[in-house]
Amino acid sequence: MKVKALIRRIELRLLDRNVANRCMLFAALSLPMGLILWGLQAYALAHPEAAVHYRPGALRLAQQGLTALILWLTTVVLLAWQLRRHGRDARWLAQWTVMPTFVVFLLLAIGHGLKDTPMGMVLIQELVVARALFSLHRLKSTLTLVVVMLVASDLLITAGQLVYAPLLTAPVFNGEDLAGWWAVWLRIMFQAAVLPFTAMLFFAFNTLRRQRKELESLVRTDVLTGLSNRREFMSQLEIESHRHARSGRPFCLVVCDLDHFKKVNDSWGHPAGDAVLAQLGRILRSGTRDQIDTAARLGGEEFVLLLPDTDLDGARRVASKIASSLRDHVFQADGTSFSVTQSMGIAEVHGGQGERALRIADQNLYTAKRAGRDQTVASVVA
Amino acid sequence: MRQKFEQFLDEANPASRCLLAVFASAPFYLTYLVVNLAGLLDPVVQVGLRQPVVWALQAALVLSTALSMGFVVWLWPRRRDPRPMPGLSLAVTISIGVIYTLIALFSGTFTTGANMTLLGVLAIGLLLFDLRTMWISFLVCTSLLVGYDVFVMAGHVPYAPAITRLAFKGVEPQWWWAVWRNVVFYAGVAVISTLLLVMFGRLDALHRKLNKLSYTDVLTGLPNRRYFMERLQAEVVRQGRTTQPLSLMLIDADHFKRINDTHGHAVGDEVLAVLARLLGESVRTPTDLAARLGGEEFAVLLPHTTVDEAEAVCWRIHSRLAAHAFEASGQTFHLTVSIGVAQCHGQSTEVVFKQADRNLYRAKQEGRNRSIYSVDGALDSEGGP
Repeated sequence: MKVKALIRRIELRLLDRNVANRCMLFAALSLPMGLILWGLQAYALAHPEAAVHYRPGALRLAQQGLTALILWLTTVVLLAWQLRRHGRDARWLAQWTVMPTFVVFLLLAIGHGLKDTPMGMVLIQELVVARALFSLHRLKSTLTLVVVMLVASDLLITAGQLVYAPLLTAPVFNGEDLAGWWAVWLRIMFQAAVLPFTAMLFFAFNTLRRQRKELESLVRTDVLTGLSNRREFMSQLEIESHRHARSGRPFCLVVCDLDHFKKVNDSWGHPAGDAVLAQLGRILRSGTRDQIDTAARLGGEEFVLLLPDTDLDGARRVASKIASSLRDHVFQADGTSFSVTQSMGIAEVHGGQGERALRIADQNLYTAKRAGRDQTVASVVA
Repeated sequence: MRQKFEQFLDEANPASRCLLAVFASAPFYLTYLVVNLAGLLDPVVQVGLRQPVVWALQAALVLSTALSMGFVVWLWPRRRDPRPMPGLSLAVTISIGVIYTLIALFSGTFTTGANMTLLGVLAIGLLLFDLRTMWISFLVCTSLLVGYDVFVMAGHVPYAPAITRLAFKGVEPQWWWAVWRNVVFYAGVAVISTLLLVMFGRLDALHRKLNKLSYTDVLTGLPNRRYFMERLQAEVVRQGRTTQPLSLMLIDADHFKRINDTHGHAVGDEVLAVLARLLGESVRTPTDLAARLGGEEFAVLLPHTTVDEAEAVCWRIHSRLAAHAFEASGQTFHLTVSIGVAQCHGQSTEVVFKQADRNLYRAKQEGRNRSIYSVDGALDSEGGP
């Protein structure tokens, strides 16, 4: 459960942040990869047995470029933090964060050789981070630049104008066992790119699936109470009516209406009114059977229960349990407490005529209201 | 095309998902089989290959192709079966995953684009199958890769077992190895980038839809109570700052219960939808906001509008409704509404709302089908349709 809540929080952060926050996240998420590569290159610079694999001047240049990027990304984190606090527009920053990151990583990838190192995967990993945070529209110029540079480098290599893996004295893989330095370097870079990438992939698809489910249930539920909405109730009523016509098993409807709900809204305010509705929603849900019964909010302060396989006595028992739960609940508003009652009308469906039973239940509800409220009236549809 | 694919992703049953996965992977199996065979027979290429390993890969490919055919034979008659098939989904994903894992492993996990193809396959799998299935397949393939790598590090088996020193001349790869590396790399990049963009596109679209839905009333398509209350709060705050007039109208359909009772709920719903449409047409969107608060209760928020100007809007609503004849079960009838209007003069949201509500109540008391206006609750005035 805790993990789920955490995932949900991360999602919300990813989805609903402003540009400054997104820049900050992008820089913060790109920094580890930069630092890992920087550490490896620093080690190579200091150790001759690793340094022999690199062209001496080129490695120093690569390290300087990477250092500049790391410093810039750190600056972006701090800058975006400030911009976020001041709520200022940071659209320009997005371009200046994403573009340099991609260019530096791409140059390093070409330098190490794209076809026989995990550097391509590093770029893909960066693409995931970028697209998770920014719209495709905003990334267009950067992505175009990356593709152009990539293809151009390949063309130059094919034409013999550029040596493959210009950063290195020889390409990483030559058909023999890996050199000791590369055996370590490759494994570190591979994990550094693949692990976060896979995690993000699983995470994103999980989000996708959950949002789809949420969307489906949103169409069918009432936002305030979480019960079924009117549309869902109507379709359930039709289904159950057909089933009832075939099976002849008892089937009841209970219509509930809060007493003097307008007064609650007027004297305690709409938030208190909403709290009452939400509470009644909870009571209705806990008072009915999961998967079998349907509790729905028809609109306003009007609710309905659809109880298959329940006769009039059973429906009465359900109604009285629900009525007393609501009556006993103490609501708080403005430091005072109050309680609320409801009137209910029950009707048993006959001959599969659900709509008709709903109307009768409604009439019974009116009878209950006229008889002084806080009571239940039941009848069989003749 | 794209829309069709998305619809398939949303609605397909497990059987057709498995079928799609099998059909999509089979052509690649055949391509690999043919290319490997050509390499094994070519005198230039074969010296660069460790032949027993490549023959083993061929055997695995043949086995997988046969398995795919078995899947198709079993699945085709059941393609409309809506039931979940966790076992079969797992068998399909693992059989595909293992083949691509072997290809990556044999050609050098860390040093070919085959690893990118492998990730592309993972992404496709995630698009088609549920997380549990993909999680298990992922673990199976990962343990294969890691297990082999442990043996490589221990020195028991060679790294990139399918490839020998002779695939290179000096440090340069032979032409065939260069071509293979390039194709695999670019194919992997293309697959992954496309899938990522599709996936994130879907994610964005869903998020937008969800956001919209949670602020929309399903029946009428108008903004719902939650959205209206947020906007009202914001507009009241802005009114306090700019001192521009701001009017709030609460609208309630008269005798709505009677319509439901006489003509059924379906007609009632339709009446609400029509009323919502008329309200939407009677205001100057996007500045003005019409919303359904719940039941037969609607509200309109009119920024930069005094009560006098709001009166014109009320009049428009009343007269449009009077002109609209509803039809149900062979009868025609008209709908009327009662409206309570209040103008905001620096009061709190609650107070404005309460004033409008009181005016609405009075409109009902005084015989319905009318509007009651007030400025600060002091100067009440009345206007008919």
